[in-house]
Amino acid sequence: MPMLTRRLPQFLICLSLTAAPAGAQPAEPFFFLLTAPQLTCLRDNAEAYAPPEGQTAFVTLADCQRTTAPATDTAQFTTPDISLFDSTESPDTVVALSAQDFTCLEGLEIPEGTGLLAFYPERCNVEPR
Amino acid sequence: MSNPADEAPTPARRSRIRRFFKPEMDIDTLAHLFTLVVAVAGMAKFFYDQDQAEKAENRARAITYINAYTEEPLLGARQALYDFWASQPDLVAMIRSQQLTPRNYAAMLQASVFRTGAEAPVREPLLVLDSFYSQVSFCESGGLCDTGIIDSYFCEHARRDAQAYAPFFAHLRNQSGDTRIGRELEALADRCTPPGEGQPTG
Repeated sequence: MPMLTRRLPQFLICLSLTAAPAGAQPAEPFFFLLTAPQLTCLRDNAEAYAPPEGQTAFVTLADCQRTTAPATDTAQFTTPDISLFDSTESPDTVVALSAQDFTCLEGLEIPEGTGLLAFYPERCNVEPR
Repeated sequence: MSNPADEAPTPARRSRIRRFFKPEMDIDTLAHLFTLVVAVAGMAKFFYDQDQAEKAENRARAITYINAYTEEPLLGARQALYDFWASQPDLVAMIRSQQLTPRNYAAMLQASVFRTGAEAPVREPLLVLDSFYSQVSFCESGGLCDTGIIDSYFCEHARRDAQAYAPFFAHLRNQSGDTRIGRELEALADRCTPPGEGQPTG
């Protein structure tokens, strides 16, 4: 018993450490999964697509090379209807890029090939998948 | 046409009845038997009433959550979420018009919302929403709320919210280190049965 009393502070510290919530985890860097022609199209049209500083451009990849703005959705909702499907093989259909991302794209060397490429806007790099 | 001989008790059966109800059985024995039957019926009625009362309480609790969904603080939280989506018309147009993978959807939000801190006004409303769904989920999974009512009213809401806000909750989990945020909503959305998709249980 006296031993337990002596070790009580250490025990309490251990207990508080185990009971404390895990610290904040760094978020996984996000990426867009694209084909080389899609990424090349974005790069080649970077000037047309690049938004003003502080804003984000939304590009539908099927419409790449067309520079019309997307139609604004005026539907009333609290949570939008989203149609998601699970696939690891499909390239992304849409991307959201900032002015800096387009600047990065302009200087990016895009690997040749038919496979999918992961474009990491925050790291400004592209990796084959 | 059945043969009367078939309907008459067989000798073996007649003998069993005679063994039980003997002619010499006195009124006390019959009274005891009657008491026993009444006691058994009374117990059955008691358990039936208990069951009915429990079901009525479960229905009442489920309806309380339906009412809570249209009152504060949920109403304010849903209004804030509405304001958030209304402030992102281009993003909404894009995600409603295209089929996205969950990763593509999360990346769109990372790129356009979390990177700029635009989600700040909905952090608290999302925690209110998460807390509400946690209560609903606990009530339903613990057998305290009527599953049929919960599923009929909340299943579609839960599925839609779980899908739309999954990246937001993941972001909050990363920021806070609280790995439980959004998990109960996810569980409720997974196990619930929306109306028309099957027979609800409970």
